[in-house]
Amino acid sequence: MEINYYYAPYVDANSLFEAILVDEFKIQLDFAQDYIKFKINPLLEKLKDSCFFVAETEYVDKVYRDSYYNYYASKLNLYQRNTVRISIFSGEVREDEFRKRDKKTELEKKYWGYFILRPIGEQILGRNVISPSAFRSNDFSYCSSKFPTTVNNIKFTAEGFPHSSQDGETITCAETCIWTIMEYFSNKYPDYHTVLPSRIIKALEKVSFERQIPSKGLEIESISYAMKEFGFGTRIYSRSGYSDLTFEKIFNCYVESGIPVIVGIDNLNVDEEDIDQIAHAVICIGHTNISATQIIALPANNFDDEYILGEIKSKQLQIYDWNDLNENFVFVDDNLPAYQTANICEPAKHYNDSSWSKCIVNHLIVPLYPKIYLDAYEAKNFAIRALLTGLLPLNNKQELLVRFYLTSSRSYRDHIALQENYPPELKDILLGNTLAKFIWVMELSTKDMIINNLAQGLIILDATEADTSNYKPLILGAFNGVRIQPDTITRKLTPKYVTLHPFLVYNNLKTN
Amino acid sequence: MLQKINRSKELRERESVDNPDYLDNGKDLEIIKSLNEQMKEVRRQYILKDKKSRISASNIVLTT
Repeated sequence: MEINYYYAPYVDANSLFEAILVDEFKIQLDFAQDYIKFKINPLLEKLKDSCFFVAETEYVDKVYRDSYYNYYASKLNLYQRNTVRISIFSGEVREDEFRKRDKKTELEKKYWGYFILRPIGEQILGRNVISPSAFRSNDFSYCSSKFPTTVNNIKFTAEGFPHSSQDGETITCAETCIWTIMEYFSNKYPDYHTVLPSRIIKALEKVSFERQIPSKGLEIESISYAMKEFGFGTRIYSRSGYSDLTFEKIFNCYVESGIPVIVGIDNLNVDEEDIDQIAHAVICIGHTNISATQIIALPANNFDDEYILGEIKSKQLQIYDWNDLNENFVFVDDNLPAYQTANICEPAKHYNDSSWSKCIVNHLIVPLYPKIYLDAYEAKNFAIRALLTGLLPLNNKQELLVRFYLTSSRSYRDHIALQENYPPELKDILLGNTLAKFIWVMELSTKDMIINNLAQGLIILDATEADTSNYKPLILGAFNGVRIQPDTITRKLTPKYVTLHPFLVYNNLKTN
Repeated sequence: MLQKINRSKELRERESVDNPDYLDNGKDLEIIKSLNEQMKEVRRQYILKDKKSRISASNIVLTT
């Protein structure tokens, strides 16, 4: 089977895709033009016009091939089993450059990722990993992973977050979210493995009461179940279980922790006759970059817990919560191109449709490492209460900005090990003692300091300790000249003096 | 030459100075008891919220 290669600049993209759809996929010209207009152009419009495309035919895409053998091949109609892979470069590349060793580094620098075209009609856009650098709008921080691939027989690495449009038959939004999460984690951590559509179907076989394909979507609990089967300690949060404020803080906290969160959006509570009922799954992978103006605009004392508000009032504190930032989030939606930015209040604004515009984020499915036993709600409550009860000294009328997130101790240690201005005592403790694989970190700062990415105190909690009695999750606290660290064996607290100077805060997300 | 380094131990022996003024005279126990009471209430609220959360999630099919 011979492979055809196409090379085209952005301005000739329409001709390129017309040639692929008509000549390679044998689609009638009228249909091909519609597919380009409605399925490929929305992506092209988001990409920079400096993009240059290299297309390779007869590409075996693992996801489509799995759907082909398990579903499409069992139909009477003929479906091709191979796909076309489109690689994206920043600027022109020539065929001969792929045969010159001295051009390899230059090509690698220009490589922006790839997307697959599937030969199944309308749902033509398949698996893709495209660097945010290829997009016109990319002022955001996001979860990123590296994906080994090839272009014209040369090995490359695509960097970004995986995405695919649903095919509507073997995978809908729900299965696509599961696939995407597994694709991301399996390329980032050895603890997980990639899953194909048939594996997702198999995992849910015992809890499904009807046929599974053609897919009609999945219940939130089924998504959580599948993620659990694939190695996660999944947690579900519903807006109706918490207050709006707490639910949105939890959402923000997990995003800040660099965990891609499956988000259930729906308009099912809207009681209007002229709207279609919608329930959809997307993934939130980050947020737009935070400006000084947004930090300055943070509201003070934005809590709905009576105890916290009472303590704030009696001590005349000004506490700002980083999780209250009114930033836009970065969503990966299988109906739209990757990296859509939208506010939590209008997650489906890009649909430009009255029914979709009524959708709000109502559910979160958080894929946690299975040994993270202490979740965001309890962990953050513990850290704030540790401050307010006086476990660490808090001055009256103190201004405090708290930034709370989950991270791996490995990443956090890497962050502080080479940081020269990190308080030396804290550095020695954190680098010289064993830590849990995952830790909750509360960085204590002020508005002025955090604008410069600095903090002046911190609380570190053990994410593997679900028992919050007798300050068991506490690993270390340091603020206002006092350091507390429970003795490893007796757990006795002996406060120490500590000199704290401002140090750099840690960021779980990759900033573009 | 073989070297054995324990930075935490060195810190304890050389740099670490007790702060006797903070959490003294049984104040630590008072704070810990208060924190324990608070966290008991947080756990109670958390269980209730989680229950409502699970009931809500059990009715939704994500399809679109």
